[in-house]
Amino acid sequence: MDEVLGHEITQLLQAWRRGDERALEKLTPQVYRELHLAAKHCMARERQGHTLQTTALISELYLRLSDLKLIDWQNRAHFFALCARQMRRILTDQARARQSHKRGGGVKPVLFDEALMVAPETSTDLLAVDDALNRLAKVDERKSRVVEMRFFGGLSVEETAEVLKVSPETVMRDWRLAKAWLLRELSGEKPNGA
Amino acid sequence: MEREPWGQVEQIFHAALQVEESRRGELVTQWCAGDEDLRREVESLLAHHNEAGSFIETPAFEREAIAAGVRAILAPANPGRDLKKTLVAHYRILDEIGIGGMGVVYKAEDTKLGRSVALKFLPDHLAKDPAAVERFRREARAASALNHSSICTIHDVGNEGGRYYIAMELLEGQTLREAILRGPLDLQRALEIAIQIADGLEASHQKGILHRDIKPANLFLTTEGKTKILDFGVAKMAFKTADRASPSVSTELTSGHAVLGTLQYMSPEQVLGKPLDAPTDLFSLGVVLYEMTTGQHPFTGETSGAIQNAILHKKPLTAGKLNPELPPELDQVISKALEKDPELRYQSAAELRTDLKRLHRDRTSVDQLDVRKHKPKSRVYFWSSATAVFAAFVLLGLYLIIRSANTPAENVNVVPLTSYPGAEQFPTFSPDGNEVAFAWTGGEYGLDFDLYRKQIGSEKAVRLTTTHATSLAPAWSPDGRYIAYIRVGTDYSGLYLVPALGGPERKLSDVSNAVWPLRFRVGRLTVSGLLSPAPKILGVRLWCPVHVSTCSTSRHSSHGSCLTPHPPARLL
Repeated sequence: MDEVLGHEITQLLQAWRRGDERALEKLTPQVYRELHLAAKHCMARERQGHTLQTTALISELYLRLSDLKLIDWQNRAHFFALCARQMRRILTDQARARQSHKRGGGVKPVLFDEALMVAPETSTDLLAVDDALNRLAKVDERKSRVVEMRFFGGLSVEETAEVLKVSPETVMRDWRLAKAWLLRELSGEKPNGA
Repeated sequence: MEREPWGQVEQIFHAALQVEESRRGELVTQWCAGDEDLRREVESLLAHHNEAGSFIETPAFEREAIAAGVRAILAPANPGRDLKKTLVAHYRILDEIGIGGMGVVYKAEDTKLGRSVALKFLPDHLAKDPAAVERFRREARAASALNHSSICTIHDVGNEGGRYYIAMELLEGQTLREAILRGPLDLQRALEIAIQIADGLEASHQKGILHRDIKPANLFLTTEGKTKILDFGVAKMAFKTADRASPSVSTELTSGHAVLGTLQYMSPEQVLGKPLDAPTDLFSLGVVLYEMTTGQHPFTGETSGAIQNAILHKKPLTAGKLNPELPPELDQVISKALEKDPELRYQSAAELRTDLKRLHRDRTSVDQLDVRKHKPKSRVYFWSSATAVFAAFVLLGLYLIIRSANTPAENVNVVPLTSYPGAEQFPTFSPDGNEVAFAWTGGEYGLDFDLYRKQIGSEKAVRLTTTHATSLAPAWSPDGRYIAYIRVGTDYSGLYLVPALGGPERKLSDVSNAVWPLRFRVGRLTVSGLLSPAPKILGVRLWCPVHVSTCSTSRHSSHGSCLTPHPPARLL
């Protein structure tokens, strides 16, 4: 990674933190590209039991992208929040691509189903979560961001709290309610019997 | 359908979670004050909360990565099934034997030469990725350039019908990772393994090849006692650029914008994505040596970020602190291998190997001298050593008394063993006198004492217990491997045993009214302690940790009180 780009990204991060939304616009595609590459290579190398954590991937990216001298905690938290959103895009794009591939037939989809059997937790449909999260954003924006940061960005409660400028307790409360709400959405049950 | 006012739903939802589940329904009805829709909404969310469990707790990327990993594993399994008993080039596939970093490995028969080989295929989905193919070929090239008894031999590389394979030496045994799952290895064995790895690394470094992913899963212990380095998948050739062409190409292919290598074994320069040289592999070997001898990682953390931080900035607890049986010279070797600055580290595998060999030789002679120590303990031996230890303590006590009565001798310093905030109690020396176990509130106000262990002279203490109960009166087992203690708390009261290096504790007895000092009786693995006056039984009881029952009781007229240094192996 060349230093010029690293420095530029750090400056964009700082500008974004100061409230410059154009900095975010410039930053987003660069981060998306880098994160996508990193995620792709990482997954290609994955094997059972050696899962590299999301935060490690993003940390690595951050270390690579930013000017080490200018790193500070808040920059890092904001970068992580940005990555969470990009990660959400990357993963849902991938899931969509896989779904269309599935409709097209072939060998891979069968294998994917086998994978679902092996790792039951993966049976939560990513696209369904994404859709439900969009609906949650309409009811409660902050809770949807908590889920985005924690589920898609792998951020800890404390890191999420730092970005949202709320207490970790609030993040935990939001997380609890959001989980229940999302699970209900996914189960297709309508409350109130209305 | 109009949803209920969200703020109200939220408030009642959280309030309900604060109360016991059995009372929730009633209270929620009360709080909703007749608003049926509101009540149904809250009840429905509460019901889903109860079911939520691990739902979305694992970050999406990690889940996907696991699924991708499973896919990668399964992808070649199908062709493998098809291929079973059939030929790929001149190899007859026999059995699937494992999963390597870059694909599934099969046992196969080389029909030309009539020997058994391990045949590794590049997974199909990676076969379409030019970078992965290049890495696969690279592994083959890198490893086949090496002919060394500590490196798994590559026989052949090929591509049959678009499927890439490597034929290599078929090994029998287990990986070091499996071997250390059961705990630390015997020091001499660990040194032998490390020497062989250093030997293999020396050979590969001399050819200009870095391994870059030295870790227990990539080190194979054969049934014949040999150690073999596997998986040169992320190896980087031409790290010495002198006479090699385009080192930049090789950097690009191996780093590939992704974190390669396994975090916990990475060198600081690897974490930072800096240029690498021979010392990076020696750092990883240092981590492996640490893990083999202590059973623990030198750099730990709850998150990858914390692990990275530890690798970059933290000096690990010395191995000797975790395992007092280890010689200080081993700490010196490990510290030098784990230097953050590659220039201060071992510069060559040969240099490290020399130090390891010296240590191995010295230990061999120590073991010969100490052979009595390892014989089954006879009673006579026990008594003589116990007497000697007791005499030493008496002398120490006398010395301390005399010293306190007179002006302190000039060459004796009073050193505080701990300087932590809050209350510390029950300091108890380990049998070798190098460590002290004690109860501490962790700096908090209150009576929640937990047990800690620390090396004398070091600042850092290792926490051994973590419950919300009071843990008191630690007593070391004579071999220093266990610490018995009393725990007081509504649900946890009893006599417990915890490994001195940390780990799950074991309840020995429900009796919690024992008072200190607890003592171990050697030979029969028995803990004894005085019972407090509470149940009106004053006396000595013996608990047998092995059978988790009270073994025998003997009355004693005195009442144990405050802690005094005592001979660790003294019989009651």
